Amino acid sequence: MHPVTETTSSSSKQARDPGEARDARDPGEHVLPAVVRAAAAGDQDAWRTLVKAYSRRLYAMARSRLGSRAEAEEVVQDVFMAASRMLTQDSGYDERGSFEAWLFRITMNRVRDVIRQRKTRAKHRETIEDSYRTSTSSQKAPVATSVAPLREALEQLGGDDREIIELRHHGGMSFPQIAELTGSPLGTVLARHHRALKKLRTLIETPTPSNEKHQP
Amino acid sequence: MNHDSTPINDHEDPRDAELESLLAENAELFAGEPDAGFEDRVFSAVSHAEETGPIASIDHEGATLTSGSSRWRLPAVIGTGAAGLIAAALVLMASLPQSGSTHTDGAAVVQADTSMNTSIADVTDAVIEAELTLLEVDLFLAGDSEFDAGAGLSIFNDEWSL
Repeated sequence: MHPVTETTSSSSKQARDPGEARDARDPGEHVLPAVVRAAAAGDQDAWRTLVKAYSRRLYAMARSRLGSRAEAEEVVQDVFMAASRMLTQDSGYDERGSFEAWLFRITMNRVRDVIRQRKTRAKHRETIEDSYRTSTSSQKAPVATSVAPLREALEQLGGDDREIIELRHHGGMSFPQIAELTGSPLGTVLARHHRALKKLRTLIETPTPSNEKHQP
Repeated sequence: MNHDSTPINDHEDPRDAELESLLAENAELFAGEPDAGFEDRVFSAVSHAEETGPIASIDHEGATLTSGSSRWRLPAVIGTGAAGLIAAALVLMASLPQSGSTHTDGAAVVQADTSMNTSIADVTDAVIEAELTLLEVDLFLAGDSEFDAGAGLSIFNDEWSL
């Protein structure tokens, strides 16, 4: 809904742990509880730290699932507003659990809400989007060619498989955190992730009319 | 910092590593999408969460949603007359639990009620509903025979002569 600027990012060609991406911003697991407590007490610097640490990771996960930049940003804002209310009202967050898993759970729920709203409003939305298409230039973001087949394959991946890929690789969550978030044993999470990767690779390698043009 | 001491997977197949590289590239592209003001907007939403509800407004140029210092603009996609604006304004006002509102000549400003836990998404929905109403009224007035205007306009027909 709001204007966004296309930004490019350097790409990594080395396989690496998705958790590495968060190193520079993460307050650190030993410091985090104190930061969260300070945020709950209304410390604005603590909130800035949390926003810097997590907002882009939450955005990446929401963006992957929703496909819309504007909706993804709204989700992130909603998540932090909800987190703020729950922390300051001392409800909803149990310090024994992972703050990160809690934040991602709120995000997943909000993303599901948005998807549900979309379904119930599908007819109207098509109407207004048609109107936008005819009245303005397309606002659909250009997709880097290298990741275009991946994004198409993710769209085709089933809900649970897609979710674990998005939590792990777009959200940068660790496997133990995903296990905590989903309430599944760690071994199950690892197996699900491995299966999901294989399905994803199969989808990418299976030529379709839309992805053939991306093949070298 | 990496909290994860568990191997990602066994990497028996080199294609797994390639795929994970591609996923990492995709994650970086996604995370790099928002502009430099993104964190400020998120922080602003947090810092104002307890103070005021989001504000939605609609006028002849389109709809605006404001939360804290963040502002979103949904331009009017069509030209519309007073009937459409009045209808859209009423929809906006009816769609939100509100702590305050004004309504003049089809323009509306609505302050969402935070005690109702009204989120930005709720206000966005209300704004889109209002925009849809503008569209419906415009299509109705334009005599688009393909469009079922009845459903969208029935609630107004009793009070407003379109």
